[in-house]
Amino acid sequence: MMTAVLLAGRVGSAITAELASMTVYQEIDALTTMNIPAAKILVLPRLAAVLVMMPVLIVISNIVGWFGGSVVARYVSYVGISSESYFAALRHFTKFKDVVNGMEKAEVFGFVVVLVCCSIGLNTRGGPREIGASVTRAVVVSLILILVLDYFVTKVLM
Amino acid sequence: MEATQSCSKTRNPFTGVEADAVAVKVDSLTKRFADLIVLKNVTFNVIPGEIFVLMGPSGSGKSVLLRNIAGLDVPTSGTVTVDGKDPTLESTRESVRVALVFQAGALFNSLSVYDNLALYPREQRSGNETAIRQKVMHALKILSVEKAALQFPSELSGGMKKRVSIARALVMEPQLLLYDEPTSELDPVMSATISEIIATLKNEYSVTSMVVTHDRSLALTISDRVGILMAGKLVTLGTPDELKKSQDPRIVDFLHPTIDVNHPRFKQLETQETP
Repeated sequence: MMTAVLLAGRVGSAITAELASMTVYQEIDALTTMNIPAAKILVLPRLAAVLVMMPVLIVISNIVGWFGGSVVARYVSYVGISSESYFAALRHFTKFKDVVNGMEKAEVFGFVVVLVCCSIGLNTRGGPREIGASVTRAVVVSLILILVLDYFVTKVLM
Repeated sequence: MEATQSCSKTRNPFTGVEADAVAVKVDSLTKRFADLIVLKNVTFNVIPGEIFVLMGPSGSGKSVLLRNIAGLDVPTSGTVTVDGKDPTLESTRESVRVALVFQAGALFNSLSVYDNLALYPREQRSGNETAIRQKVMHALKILSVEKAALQFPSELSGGMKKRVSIARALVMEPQLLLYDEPTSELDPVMSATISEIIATLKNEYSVTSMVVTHDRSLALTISDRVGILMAGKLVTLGTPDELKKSQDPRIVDFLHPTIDVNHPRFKQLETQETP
């Protein structure tokens, strides 16, 4: 979930800003007059990219999280767990299924974040000022959907 | 350069093949945005192969009308047809090539000039990369911007952006060319160059062209017919000569505005107390 939140903030906002800017400056209209669907060349590649990269991001964030946790466990005085004990407990309690479930959730979150951000970007109306409003709206909606979907996806995976 | 008479055949600028020029028919078009009526019962035709110029003061609805003809907006009431078909339908866009030269160019900033022009033929799969390259370079050469092929839109001047956007429209091998304020934000010399380009494209290839502008010089020099839109209504339609002879005070005021510094509204400004 944290990875999806970071994705929404960093990648989602950039996607919305770019597509909203293209909409405001009539680049999307130019695509329409050329009979080129905006969804085909602007949305689909981004969806494909997030589906490919989300598992990679999850692996990286898991590894960082595990090692980060061991550092906190060792050096924070009221925790005081040695690295060996930490990793032993991690190996004992973490199942492969947990990691896979995490990746599946992340794929769903990533897909929803990119879809929401693209939709809000392409539906921006008004002038350049609306670009900022669209970015804010896209990130907020993405974060809310991540929180709501977390409950439902977890129920499905249990 | 003045435009020659309109004709009903258009010549492909790349293959030289002739085809029927398209007509535009606008019938009782009304467009409303919430409570604001932008276009009111507008009716006119654009004859195949002609340059039709639509003029009017700012906010008169010219660009909205152009967007309706390009199929980017749907009329509130009335009809717009291009070659007898609804321009908002995807099937119409597949059969009738309508190219719009946007006021600000609307070039894709993440693509080079070459890729901006190559996007359409690549997506339409019209030939291999060699054929596409020939078409793109030919279009750039017609507009005298071939040296800018590898530059990005942000590196171009206003005049070059306009010429590149016209070249991009030309690559579509359009049957209808729409121009939205093609000379806006340009100096008089560049404005004259763009006007010449529009007239040359029409004379050489007989593409039906519609130009929205408030540039009187462009309108009266290169057009076959001119329509004047005021407050969403088409108040007059005729040849440039007919317009020049018009006695309608609205037309006379629009074509020959005068600045009167003794107008009462300036006197009101002078007598206002400063805060």
